[in-house]
Amino acid sequence: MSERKPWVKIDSLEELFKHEAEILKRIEQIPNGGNLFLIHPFMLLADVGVELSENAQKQIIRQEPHLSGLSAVPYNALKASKAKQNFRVHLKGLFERKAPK
Amino acid sequence: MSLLAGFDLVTEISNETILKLLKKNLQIGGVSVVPTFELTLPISGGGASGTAHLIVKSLDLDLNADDTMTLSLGFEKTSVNVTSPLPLTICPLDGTLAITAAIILVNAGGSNQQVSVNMGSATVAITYSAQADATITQDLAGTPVSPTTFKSLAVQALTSFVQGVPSPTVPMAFSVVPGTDGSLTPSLQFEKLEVHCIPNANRSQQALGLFGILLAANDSHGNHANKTGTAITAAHDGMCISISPQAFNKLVFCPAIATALSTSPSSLPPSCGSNTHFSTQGVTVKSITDSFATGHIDINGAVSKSGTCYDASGTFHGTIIFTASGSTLTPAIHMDQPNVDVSIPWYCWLVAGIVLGPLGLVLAGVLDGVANGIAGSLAGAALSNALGGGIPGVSLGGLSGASFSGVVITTAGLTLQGSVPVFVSAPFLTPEITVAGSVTTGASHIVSSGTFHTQLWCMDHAKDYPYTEYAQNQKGTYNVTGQLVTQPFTPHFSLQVPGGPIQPLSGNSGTAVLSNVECHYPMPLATGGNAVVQDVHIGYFISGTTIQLTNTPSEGDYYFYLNATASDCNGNPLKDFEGDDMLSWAQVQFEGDHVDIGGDYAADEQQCAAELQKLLQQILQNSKQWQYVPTWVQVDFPPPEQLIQYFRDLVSINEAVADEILIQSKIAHGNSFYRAIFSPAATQPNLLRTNQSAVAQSQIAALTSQIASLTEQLAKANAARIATSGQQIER
Repeated sequence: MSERKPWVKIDSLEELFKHEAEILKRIEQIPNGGNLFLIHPFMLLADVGVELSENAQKQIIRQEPHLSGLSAVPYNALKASKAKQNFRVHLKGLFERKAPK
Repeated sequence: MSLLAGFDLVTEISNETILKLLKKNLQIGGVSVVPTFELTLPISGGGASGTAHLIVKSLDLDLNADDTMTLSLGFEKTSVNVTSPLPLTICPLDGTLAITAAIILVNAGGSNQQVSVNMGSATVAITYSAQADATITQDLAGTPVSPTTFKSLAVQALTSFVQGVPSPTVPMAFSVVPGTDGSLTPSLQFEKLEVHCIPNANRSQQALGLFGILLAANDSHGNHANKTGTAITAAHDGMCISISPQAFNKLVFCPAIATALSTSPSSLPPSCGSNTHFSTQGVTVKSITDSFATGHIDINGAVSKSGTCYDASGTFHGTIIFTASGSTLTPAIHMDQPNVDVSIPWYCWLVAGIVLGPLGLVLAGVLDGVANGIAGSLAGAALSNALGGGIPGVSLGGLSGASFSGVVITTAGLTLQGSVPVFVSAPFLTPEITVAGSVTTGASHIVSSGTFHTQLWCMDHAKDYPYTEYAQNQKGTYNVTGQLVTQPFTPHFSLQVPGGPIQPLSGNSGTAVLSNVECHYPMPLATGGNAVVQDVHIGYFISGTTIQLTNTPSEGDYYFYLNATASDCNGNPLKDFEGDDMLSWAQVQFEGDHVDIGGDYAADEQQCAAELQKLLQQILQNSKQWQYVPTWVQVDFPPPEQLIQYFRDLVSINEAVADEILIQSKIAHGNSFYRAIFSPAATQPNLLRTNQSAVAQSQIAALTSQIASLTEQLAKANAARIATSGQQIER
C-alpha cells in the first residue's frame, strides 16, 4: 500500500514521535514495511503519507548519522518483490529517543 | 521392502563374500573347500563301512529363508569303496552333495558373540546324475544291496561325517550387552543382535544379515522377515551397512554436535538433550534436529540472537550429503539462509549487518563441524566394526580391507555401500597320475678287488689306490598316486628303453627282457669304464598301485623308463583334461656293477680338483666376459643337473684338456657320473648351446693360450698315469 497523498506534515522530530504509533501501524500494513524502513526510512515515510519538512529530516539525520548513503534502488526492488523474505523486521519504534545535545 | 525391518543397524554381506569366507575357513576332512579338490571320507553306518572318494569341481552357496545355508558340492569321478560287510566299489559317480547347516551366533567369550555355522546338526542330501544312477544300479547288480539302500546309507554316512566337521570360524564377532544402550563408535556394541539370511532365488541377490538393536528402548523392535531383499548394490564382494534415523540421531548426530561444541549430548537442546538452548559464537540454538530425506540429511533448528537494538529469532535449514571413496566419507553441506524475524525498538542500523549473512555463517560453521563428525564416526570405525572386526582378540580374518563405494540416504535410513574383498588362493590342480619311487641296494657282494696304480695330474708321483668291485642286487620300488582321479584305480605298467618299443608288463609278476640296452661298467678304471649293448632282465612284482623291479647285477649299470597308465573300477581308462589316457613315467637306474676306490684316492682327487678350480678361476678372472668356465663340482653326491652342467661346460671348452678333466671327473664322481648322464638333465641340449653361443669369438684366442698352458700340465700327468696304470687283480 502506498499513500501518495500525505496525511500528516511533520516539521520536527518531536512531532514525528507524537504520531509514531499511527505511523508504525501504517508501516505494519505495508508488505515488508519493517525491511523497507531499514533500507530507506524517508522513502517509506513518504509512502505511508508522512511529509517530512527539511528541518525534520535534518533533525533525524543529526540523530542518526547512519541514515546518510541511502539508495532508492534496493528500496524499490524490495517494494516490487512478491517473495517472502528470509529476514523480516518488525518495528516497535521509529527512532531512538535521545536527550537533546 | 523394508531397509532395516525395525532394527537399528543392519549389516548385509553378499553371498559371494560369505562363500569366499567359507572357502577360506571351512575344511572338510582336513581339506580346504576350494574347488577343485578331492576328499577321502570314511563311511560308517547302517552296518557298512568303507571310504568315499570325492572329487569336488564346484562349490556353491545358498542362503536360505530358514536361516540355514546350503553348500552344494558338485562332484565327479567319485567312488564309494565298501569294505564291509562285503567288498564293493561303485564308480564313477557324479552329482551334487548338499550340506545344509544353520547359521548362528555363538558365545565368543564375555559379552561377545560370533557368527558360526552349526555343522553339528547339518543335514546332507545327495543328488546323482542319471548316469550315476545307472552306474549304481549296474555296480550293485547281483549284490544284496539295492540302489535305494545304497543311497540311504550314503546319506547316513555322509551326514554322520559332516556333523563331525569342525564349525568354520567366521571372522565376525560383536559385543552384545542386553538392556544397555549400545554404541557405534569407538567400538560397536549392540543391545541385541540376530543373524538371518536374506533369501532370494538368485544367489547374487542373497545376503547374510546381521540385524542389530542399539538402543535399549528398541529392544522389542525388529522383525527380520520384513526385510525381503538385500540393499547391496555392488556387483562383487558386496556389503552394506544401514542405520536407522533414530539410531543415527542418538549415536551419530547428537554426539557429533556435542563434539563440535565441546559439550555432552545431554547438555544440548532437543532433539539431542533436554536443555532449552545452547550458545555458540553469539548465536543461541534452541533446537536442532536431523531427518533423512531422499539423497540427503535435513538439519532443521531454531535460533535466536540479540543485540543492543534488536532481538532476532528464526529457524534454519541445512542439508548434508556424503560422497564416498575408499575409506573416506566426504560431507558436503548446503546451508539455507536462516528464516529470521527481527524486532527492533527503533531504527537499528546494526541489525542488517549482524543478522543478514553472519548468522547463517555461524550456523553453517556449526553444521560443518557436525557433518565432519558424522563422516568421521561413520567412516572411522563403523565399517570395520559392523563387519565384526572391532572385538579385541577375535581375528579379523578375511573381512579386512572393506571400502566405501557410496552412501544412500532415504527416509528409511542411511546405507553405506561398499565391498569387502576376500582373497582365496585357489590351487591349480589337474587330474593326473604320478609314478614315484626309488632304487635301493639289497644284497651286495665283491666280485673283484685290486690296486689301481695311477698318477693324478696334479700329483708329483704315481700312487697305489685299492679298489673293490661289487655286484649289487637292486630293487626299485615305485608307487602310482592319483590326483583328482577316480579312486581306487588300477595301474597298468610297461617298460621302455629310450627309443625302443613299449613293453607292457602282464600279470602281477614275471621277468621282462629289454633288448639293446646300453649297459655301463666302471671297469677298466683307467679308461673310466666301458659300455656293452645287450639284453637286460628285469623282474617285477605288482601289488595294488606299487611295483617292485629287480635287476640282474651282471648286466651292469643301465636305465630305462617305467610307464604307468590307469583305469577306474569299471576298467575305463583314466583320462586327462584333454581326453587322452593319463600317462606317467619314471626313470629307473640300476647299478649292478659298482667300484669303490679307496686309499687316498678321494682326498687326492679333491686336491686336484682344488688346483683345477684355481686354474679355471684364473681363466675366469682374465676374461671377464667368459661366463661359463666350468666350476668344479664336489664329489659328494651332487644333483645330476649340477653335474651334467659341469660336464657340458667342460665339453663346451672344446679343448683337449677338457677330455682329460672329464675322465678324471668321471672316475672321481663314479656313480654320480652315471646318475648324471642318465638323468633328464642330460637330454636338455639348451645348456650346451647356451654355453657355446655365449663365448665371444674374440675371446677364444686369449682363452686358448691359457688353456693350452693347462693342457701341457695335464698332458705330463696323463703320460705318467698311462705309463703306470692299473694292475688289476681279478677274483
